[in-house]
Amino acid sequence: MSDHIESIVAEPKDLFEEELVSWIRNDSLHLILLATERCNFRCTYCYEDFAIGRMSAETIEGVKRLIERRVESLDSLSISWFGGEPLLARSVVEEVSEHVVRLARERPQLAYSGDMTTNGFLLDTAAVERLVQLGIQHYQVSLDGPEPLHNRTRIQGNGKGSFGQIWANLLAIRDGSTPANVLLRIHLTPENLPMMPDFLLCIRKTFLNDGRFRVLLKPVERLGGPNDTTMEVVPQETRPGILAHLESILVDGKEEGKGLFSAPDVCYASRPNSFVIRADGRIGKCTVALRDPANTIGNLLPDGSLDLDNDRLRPWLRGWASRDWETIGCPYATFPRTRQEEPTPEFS
Amino acid sequence: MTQLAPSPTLAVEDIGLDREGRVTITNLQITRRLHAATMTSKSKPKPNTNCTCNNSKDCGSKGNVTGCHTNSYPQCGCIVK
Repeated sequence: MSDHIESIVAEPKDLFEEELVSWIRNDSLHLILLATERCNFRCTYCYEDFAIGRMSAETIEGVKRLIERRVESLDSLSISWFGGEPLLARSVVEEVSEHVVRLARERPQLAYSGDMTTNGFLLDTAAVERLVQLGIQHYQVSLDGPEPLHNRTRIQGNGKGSFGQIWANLLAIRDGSTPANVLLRIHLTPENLPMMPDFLLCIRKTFLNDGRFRVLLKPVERLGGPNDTTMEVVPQETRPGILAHLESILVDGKEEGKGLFSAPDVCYASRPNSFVIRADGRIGKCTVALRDPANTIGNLLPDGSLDLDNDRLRPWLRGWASRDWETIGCPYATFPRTRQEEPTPEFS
Repeated sequence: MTQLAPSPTLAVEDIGLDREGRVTITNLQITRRLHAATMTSKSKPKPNTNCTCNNSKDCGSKGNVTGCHTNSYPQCGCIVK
């Protein structure tokens, strides 16, 4: 052990060290919960296999017990709902969230916040109002451009388009007073780029006068889905110029950055005090590498304890050792690939 | 396990998680210093859980004051004009 780490935790000297201290603190916990891994959409670029259904009663109990075990020593608890489509298992979301709200009510020192990555199809007014009551105030909803293009790629499981329902739900949030913050994640593809200036102008006029809405522009990536070999992505070298141009449409000379969202520099997969709990109770680090055995670092037990293999955790943290922001930003992008061929481990 | 390159600044092998998901540092001296740091170091602003509008970085959306509720966390207040 070097003396250096001691000086890091005692007195952070730079942004890197401040970040490290933030993510090794035990008074802060971030859980990413996969309420179900099924989805009502079949997006053409999706990397998930939808093999695991709704979170089992045993896993739900484990999540609740884990939070109970930790809550007394927490200042900050952040719960991110992911899937699949989490609103297909809304009762799971509500059961866990009700439990957390009860625990948080008794502990004024605890800052609890919830967020949800959802396709937005089931995010109607009743759902938003109920979920916001349960502390889930931040939502990320994806759009793939104007209706005809969106409906070609964000397809419901029944083959129908999804734009109309999602748009109606977003307008209902805008026109209501529920304090739900919405991050509109707008996907960029070579096909939709020509339509984007007009579409973003529409987004700006429709939503960005409301401080609850923000936009993240995100080129679609090949993330391991069945269409990776045939789908086109925006070339890396053209992205900075394209993004700068499109962002200028969104801000329209307003306060710099208003309405825009920048992805954090530190991926949750790099943070020691953040982990994913899958619907079947497996513990992971990354929400993209769901089919990679290297992403299984352990299991959640019904009593809320974790059966973990720290040797499987540590490669996810290696960016802290190398002080490499790129690895910290996405530890999976350069993950040691030999691990992919290892079988999924069995935990007791 | 994959061998990680030794680092002059931080050995990743020193970090792990216990059975309740707490971050563990294997060196006791460092654990004590970390505890002291978390007691004294300035925390990041708390997440903003009950306000749609505020003026602090990292505390949620910035924006207008319409519909802004009272905020119960330090550094996460509404914009006051």
